[in-house]
Amino acid sequence: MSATGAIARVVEPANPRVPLYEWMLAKQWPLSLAAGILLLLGWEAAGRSGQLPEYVLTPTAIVRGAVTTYEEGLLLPAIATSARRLAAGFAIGTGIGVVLGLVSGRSWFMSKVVDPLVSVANPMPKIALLPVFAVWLGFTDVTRVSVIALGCFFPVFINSASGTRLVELDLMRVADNVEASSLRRFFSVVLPAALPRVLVGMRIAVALSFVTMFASEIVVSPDGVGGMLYNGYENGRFDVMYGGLLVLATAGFLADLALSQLGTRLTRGQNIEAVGSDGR
Amino acid sequence: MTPENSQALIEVPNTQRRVKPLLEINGICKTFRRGKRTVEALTEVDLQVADGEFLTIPGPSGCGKSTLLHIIGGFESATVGSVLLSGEPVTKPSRAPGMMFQHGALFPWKSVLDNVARPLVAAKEGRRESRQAAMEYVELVGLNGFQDSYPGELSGGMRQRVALARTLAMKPRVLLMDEPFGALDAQTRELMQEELNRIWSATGTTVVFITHDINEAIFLGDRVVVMGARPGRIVHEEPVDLPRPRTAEAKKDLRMLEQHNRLWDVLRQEMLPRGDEASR
Repeated sequence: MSATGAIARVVEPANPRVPLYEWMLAKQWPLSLAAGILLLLGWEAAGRSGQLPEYVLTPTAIVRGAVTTYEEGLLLPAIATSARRLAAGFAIGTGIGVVLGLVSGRSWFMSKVVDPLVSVANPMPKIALLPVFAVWLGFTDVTRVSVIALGCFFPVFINSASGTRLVELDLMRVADNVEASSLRRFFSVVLPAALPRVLVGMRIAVALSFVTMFASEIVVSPDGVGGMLYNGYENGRFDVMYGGLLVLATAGFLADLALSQLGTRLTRGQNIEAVGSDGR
Repeated sequence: MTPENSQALIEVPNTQRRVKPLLEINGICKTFRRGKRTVEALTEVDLQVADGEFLTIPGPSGCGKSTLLHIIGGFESATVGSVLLSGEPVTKPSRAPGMMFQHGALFPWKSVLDNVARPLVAAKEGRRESRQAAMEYVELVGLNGFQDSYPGELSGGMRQRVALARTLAMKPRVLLMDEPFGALDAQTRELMQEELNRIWSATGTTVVFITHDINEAIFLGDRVVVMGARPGRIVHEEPVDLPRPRTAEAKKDLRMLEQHNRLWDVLRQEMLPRGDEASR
């Protein structure tokens, strides 16, 4: 970068005189949106002209299926049940993961005790513990939430711990230099420095929580959105099945979007660095 | 330069004044264990720095000059010897020696102003007062208009200006500078040296400045202390006989060239491989 130091520039807002294709290239998202719409239109056209087998529904039929489940009074209770489990499992797993991860990253003892346990336990598919938990706790929501929480714990713990370990030594020295207390040092240096990594862990956890939630809802007594989808399959109601899928996909997308927006807001300044201004 | 006369008055370079030293470094030795080998990083380092003096320490890389600065700042402990600042032993980091780090060590999630205000906030000076005082330091280093930028948006030179402002805001009794311009491009470094001379004239802080650049050491310093490597020790010392205030013109002064050549001859000897190392 120049000696005088130009400021990193954000992309200019859309100018009406700029040609459409240039605006789309500069902004990126219109391009992605256009590609998505084209895909859906092609899918719909293929379905209507009889090119697809009958078990592959067109996009409009899927939306109609979701509407039908709503009209039959299936959709909203199912969403409420699943959302409750997901939120509880995510909150518990993430909460424990962040706290233990941050502590483990700072404490030599914790990293020697907890880290090996995590390394051994992490590769195991968490959903395999569902039957085990069911034996211990009965097949209740407690079991489902426990499995979801467990799935969330690992990515959050691992990322929080490594984010904490990667805090630049000189930043800690600056805190020492101004005689900051260890509590203050933790909250104003360690936590914000590790936050981008913590948020990465949380985004992975959200994606995993949908997987474990779905799996826990289709066994023994199917209910929730996962159960709705599964029952659709059992009863040959493909519109219900695809409707459930649409709900899951939308919810997953929104949850990830919310987390990434939250992340952008909480880690302002750090993102700019990540994109890479000049080297030093 | 022997420990016996460390309590004696020392002469302020280029003046007839004799004062009690602000900073006294007495017989510092530092050894590391690297595997089974013991490495002698510093041996028998004695130094006195007068109040208001600008001391520069050039040395080859790996000569332990950064280690020496970390010991003066209380970030590392000496194996043997002591550091006295205003007669008080330095045993841990405090505000009295303020450290400016090689790569700035700015908090990327804080704006320029909040970075500079950090030491003031930590001293519980109240948020509004801190920011007002911080703004004066931001202006002093010539960053008006950039107070709300994030470090990631700034060039390397500007980031070092922020780091300098933040260290000055600590109101340290001695300012320790660890090769602060070493990572900048050549032109920016020249500019920053002139800026530092201006700012130093305005504040009158005592400075200990580490560098690997002989010209930088002469241009900035009242006195130059050359360090040698393996083990790190003081090999040569001389005052700088250039009038202040020094601007870019001083770099064209013939005396500067002569001094550079003299010091380079000393430093060069330290950088040549020695017989005992060839066998290693």
